[in-house]
Amino acid sequence: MTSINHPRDRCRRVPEHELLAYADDELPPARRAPIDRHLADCPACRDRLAARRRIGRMLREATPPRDDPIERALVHAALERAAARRGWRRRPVLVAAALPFVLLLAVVVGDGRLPWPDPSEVRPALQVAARDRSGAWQPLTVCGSGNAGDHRPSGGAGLRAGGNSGATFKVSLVEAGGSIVLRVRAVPSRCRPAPERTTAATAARAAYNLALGVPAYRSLGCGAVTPFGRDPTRPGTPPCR
Amino acid sequence: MTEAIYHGEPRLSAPVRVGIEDPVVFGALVDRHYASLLRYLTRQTGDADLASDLTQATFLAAFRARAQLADEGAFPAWLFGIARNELRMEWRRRRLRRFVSLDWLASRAGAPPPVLRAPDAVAACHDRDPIQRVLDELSPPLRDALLLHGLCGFSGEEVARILDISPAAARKRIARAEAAFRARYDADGGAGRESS
Repeated sequence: MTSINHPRDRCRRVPEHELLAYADDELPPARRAPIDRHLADCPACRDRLAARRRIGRMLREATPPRDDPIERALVHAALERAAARRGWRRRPVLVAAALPFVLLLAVVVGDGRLPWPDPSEVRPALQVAARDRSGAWQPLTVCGSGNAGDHRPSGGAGLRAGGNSGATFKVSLVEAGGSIVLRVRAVPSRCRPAPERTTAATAARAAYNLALGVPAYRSLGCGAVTPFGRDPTRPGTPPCR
Repeated sequence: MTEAIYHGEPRLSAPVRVGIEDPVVFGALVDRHYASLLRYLTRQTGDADLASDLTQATFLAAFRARAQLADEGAFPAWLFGIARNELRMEWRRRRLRRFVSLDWLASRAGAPPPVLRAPDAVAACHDRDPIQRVLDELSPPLRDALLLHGLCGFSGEEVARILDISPAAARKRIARAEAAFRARYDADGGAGRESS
């Protein structure tokens, strides 16, 4: 990496901020021309200009752009959820008017059953791993209980779960046993430490919300989710339906 | 994904948006600016995980506020301004958390929990990355100006727009930041170590 030592032989004819505007090509021609002439004769100022460009180059070389497709997919999913919520808010009258008909249709088509899950009916959804407060990974089978309040991600685009849990989660996909497993790590809170079981359960709910909310992943009954672009019919863990 | 370096490419004032209200168009902007925003926030925080979270929060906040974008061509500068707000709120939250004394916690709970006994992540990061160590020594306003200009490639006027100050003040701040960075980096033996 190049040195960024500033030239010791300093010339004050062109102030630093003026030189910066020159380097950014933001000076009008009338102010640019005299600096052009001065730079042609002044090696110290040419060095200042070069040193300035070296700092930017050094910062960029030392910090390569980091793309994370999974994190980017999470951003897209969060945007889709936000867009969907916005659409509902924009048409409240239409939604209110259509709701009874939709419910009636759902009851008729659903053979007399209400169009929301029975809380007593526990459906296996997917398996995740959540890290407990000791740092050990614990496998968790996440089940949908039908309680909408439990399944709705709140804030943080699905990375924070449970509005009153005070817990924060990091989510990642890892290869484990030939399948892709969604892992949720609870970030311990120093303010409101939650009991271990609560943290693990909330982490599991966050994972469930995330898998449901991210179209890039496909839930495969129980066992696994696959990242975007992977053939969902060829997972490491077969669907358990 | 293409790298969004603004020096030498279409500048930030270029018309990047056709119908930003459309989520699909906004999604394309996410793809375009994700890596550069993540890079900026990584340097600002020195924490890759936190930077990912803040990047996500920034795009979400920008999406919700996209109707407020007056100059559609200024999307990147507007986006980075939102990122600074998210960062500021995060620091505020962290300051609040510091009110819990670790000594008090240790006296209450006996031995500190494993997460608190872990080696200091910030110190480890500084050992690996001397540039981050120098950046962390700068005051937040100077670090901000240096990263926006030097790392992200925003011009002086664009930095002024992001920081909500005059262009002249922005350029002076950038110049001060560069001088401070250079002085600390050289005092740290950075140039000699890098070249050796």
